[in-house]
Amino acid sequence: MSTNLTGEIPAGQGAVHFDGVHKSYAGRQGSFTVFQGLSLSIRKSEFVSLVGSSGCGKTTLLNMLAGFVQPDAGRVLFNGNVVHGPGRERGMVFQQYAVFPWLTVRENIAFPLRLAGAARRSPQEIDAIADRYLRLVGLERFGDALPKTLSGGMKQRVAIARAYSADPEILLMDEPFAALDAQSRERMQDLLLEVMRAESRTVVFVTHSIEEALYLSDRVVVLSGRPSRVNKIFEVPLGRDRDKAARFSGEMVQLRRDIEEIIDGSTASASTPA
Amino acid sequence: METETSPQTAIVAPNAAAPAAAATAMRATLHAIYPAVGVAALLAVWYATWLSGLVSKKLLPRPDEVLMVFWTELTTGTLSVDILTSVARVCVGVLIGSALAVPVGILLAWYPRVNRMFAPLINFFRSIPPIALSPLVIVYLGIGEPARVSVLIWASFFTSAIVIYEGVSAIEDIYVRAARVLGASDREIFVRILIPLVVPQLFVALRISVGLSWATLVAAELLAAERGLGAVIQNAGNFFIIPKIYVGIVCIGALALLMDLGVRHAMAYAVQWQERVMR
Repeated sequence: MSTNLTGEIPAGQGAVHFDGVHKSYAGRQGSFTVFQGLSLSIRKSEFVSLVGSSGCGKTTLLNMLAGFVQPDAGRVLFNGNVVHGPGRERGMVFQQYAVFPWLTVRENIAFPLRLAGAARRSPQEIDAIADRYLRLVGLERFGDALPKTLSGGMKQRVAIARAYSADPEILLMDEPFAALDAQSRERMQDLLLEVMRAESRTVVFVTHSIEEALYLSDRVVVLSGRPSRVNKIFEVPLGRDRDKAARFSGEMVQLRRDIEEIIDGSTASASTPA
Repeated sequence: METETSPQTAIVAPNAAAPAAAATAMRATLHAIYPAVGVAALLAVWYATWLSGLVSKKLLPRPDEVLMVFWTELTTGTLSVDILTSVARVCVGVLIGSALAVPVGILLAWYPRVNRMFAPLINFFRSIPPIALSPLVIVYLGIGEPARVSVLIWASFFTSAIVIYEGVSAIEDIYVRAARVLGASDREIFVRILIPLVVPQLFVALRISVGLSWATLVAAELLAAERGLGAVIQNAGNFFIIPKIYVGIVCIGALALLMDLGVRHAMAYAVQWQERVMR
């Protein structure tokens, strides 16, 4: 069920290649090495989750791919091109939603369509696209609402719709549902699966919840160790038409236990003095 | 100012609109009563002091005497001209001072080098009481209207610059990042993210500037002003007309209060999107 360690994919076929990436941060007690030559490939149209204990660098990987953080050495490739900075072909959904509070829901979703870098569109076309994504995330009745009147789950739906309206090739999701209560969280997971069925994109999804990762992904990448490396990659034996029952199947429970074991084992050994 | 936030409560619970409206009206009444109680308490202390004779009755007019003088000055005297003159000076000073402060505050917050060079200077000048500048203002600008307004611009500018600087510095990076991954250029981030987020700060700056300008008005009108509430107080002082001094003082306080209320209402309207409009 697991593939080889780095998830090697013949060059040119993957959407994302982390190629021998090094990254250190200067901390109070000297520098702290997050990655020492980490490699990972993600295929086009694949839904990949990154899991691992806190501080394992999941978010750093995502920020490198987004272009917010540059690796000290090695390369981050997207569609074969080195990532130098943020770009609209790589959309991002943040844990803190980052919905613009001064714009209505509809204006938020239309925001990327009105930028100079976007294709020229008439106001009617922009409205039509905004309508489409409002419907896709089930917010058609809230187009004129201000974000402050929305719940956390609804704000995150706005953020997802806004990311989609920029028409990115890949979606980077940084613990998007971590701030939600358990019920909204499950509802958002189902909504995301539904959105993916309607308009599939390559997704890199960072989460603390192994259950969430398994429920949503095609592959789950487990990071562990200091410096962090790809410990194991799990293929999820489910099609995209998965439903709630899948969460509790024996196979999934076993997978979850295996992943938990790796993560717990690595944190235990990391905290043991050498 | 809870009355401003109550319409939002109504939006959250549209089904409970009728009871909510009643509760809103109730709260509005209560909120009108509280300040009235405060004013009543002040008047009570004033009358009690007058009655007690702690201060000579020749030196302390009663509130009703002050009100009578106010009324006669307003209807038969030149008080209305003085009020309008002072209001105009404060408005011009605040508007020019705050407008100049917007680009300066943004530059200080956006460019760390500019900040390191000029932030200490801004704090240096901000600490100088405008009244201390009066002699120099006379030397360089004379004793005309520009001299008086320049003192008020000074007061507004430095304070607003600090407030706007603090506000822009506190802008959450997450909005800038979100805009970048959506494809916004630097210019677009400035216009579409920074400017909307500076507006609330601009209103805070206006509020502080208005308060400070009224507090500075008498200093500005020391500069050979013939009209204005500061001039009223000084002339009354020179001629020892104590009730008229009180009239000038009460007018300044009341006008400052009214203008603050005006700015707060404009703010509540302009930044309805904020989670918390009134503090």
